[in-house]
Amino acid sequence: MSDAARFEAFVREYQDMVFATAVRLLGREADAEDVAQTVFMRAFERFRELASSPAVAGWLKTVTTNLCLNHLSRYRARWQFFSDLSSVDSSPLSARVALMASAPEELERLERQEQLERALRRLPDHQRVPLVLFHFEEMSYQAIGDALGISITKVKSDIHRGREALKQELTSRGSR
Amino acid sequence: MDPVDLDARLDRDLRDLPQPRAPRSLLPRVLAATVQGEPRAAATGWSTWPASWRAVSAVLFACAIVAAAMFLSAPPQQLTGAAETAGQVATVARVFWEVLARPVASYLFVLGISLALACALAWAALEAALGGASQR
Repeated sequence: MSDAARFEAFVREYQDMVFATAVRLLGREADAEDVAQTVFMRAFERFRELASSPAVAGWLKTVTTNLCLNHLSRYRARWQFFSDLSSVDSSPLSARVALMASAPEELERLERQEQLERALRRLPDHQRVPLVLFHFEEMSYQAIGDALGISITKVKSDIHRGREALKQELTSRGSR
Repeated sequence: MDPVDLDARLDRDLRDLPQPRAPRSLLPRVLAATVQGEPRAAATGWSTWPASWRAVSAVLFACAIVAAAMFLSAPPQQLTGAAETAGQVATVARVFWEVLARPVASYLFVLGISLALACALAWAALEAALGGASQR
């Protein structure tokens, strides 16, 4: 197999993982795609040593997280106030929802997941980023504080506020 | 719903949240970017060029060295004439500088700096005045 074919297989294998980390940290699919491309370009530059490394997934996650945090701090001045709901609607999940319309329970579960994903991306950056790092990247409070340059107390309070907002979404849906 | 139950439910829902899938455009973008990146990588150093490129570039470089050596050892007549003309022009320019320009050069320099400073101050004052007015 040529190097190009091996790299293509590598991108196919890890693109969902890299994109998922980026889109949850950034909250916007377009930005996440840009960051994911940069991550894979970095991987391409050192592909020979990465391809045979067992820690490649960890390396990709670390680079993705760092690039996302850099991106957020660089574009802090023009953070979005309104989330891009249409991009979430165009996700494969929506297609699955349409396909599963015949199974009400499954449909309900998928709709709940979609709503939660949307609510997660709508959270303000200072709540969403620590919450995603804690729940999806399984980082400790200390590590999150170090990565973001804030105190552990602030990390905990931001995660708590983010969770409260998500719980609000859950209960508002449950009450409908 | 009980707050503890709600917390547990949120944890469960977050854990069960499916991983968002990468858009179909990502793979072609990455592959296109790597193709564009390859020539840049090849241009990073002569030692990384393909062997054929290195051989051709070495021959061209040797030819350029030989041509330069031949040219310098026997300069053509036109070049000698041009060098004499350039020397005369340089002499005239030096005389002009010594007699006319040099005595007033320091005054012109000080005048230029003063005008630049005055312009900068005037611009800053104007900006402060207009900026303040527009904010009001």
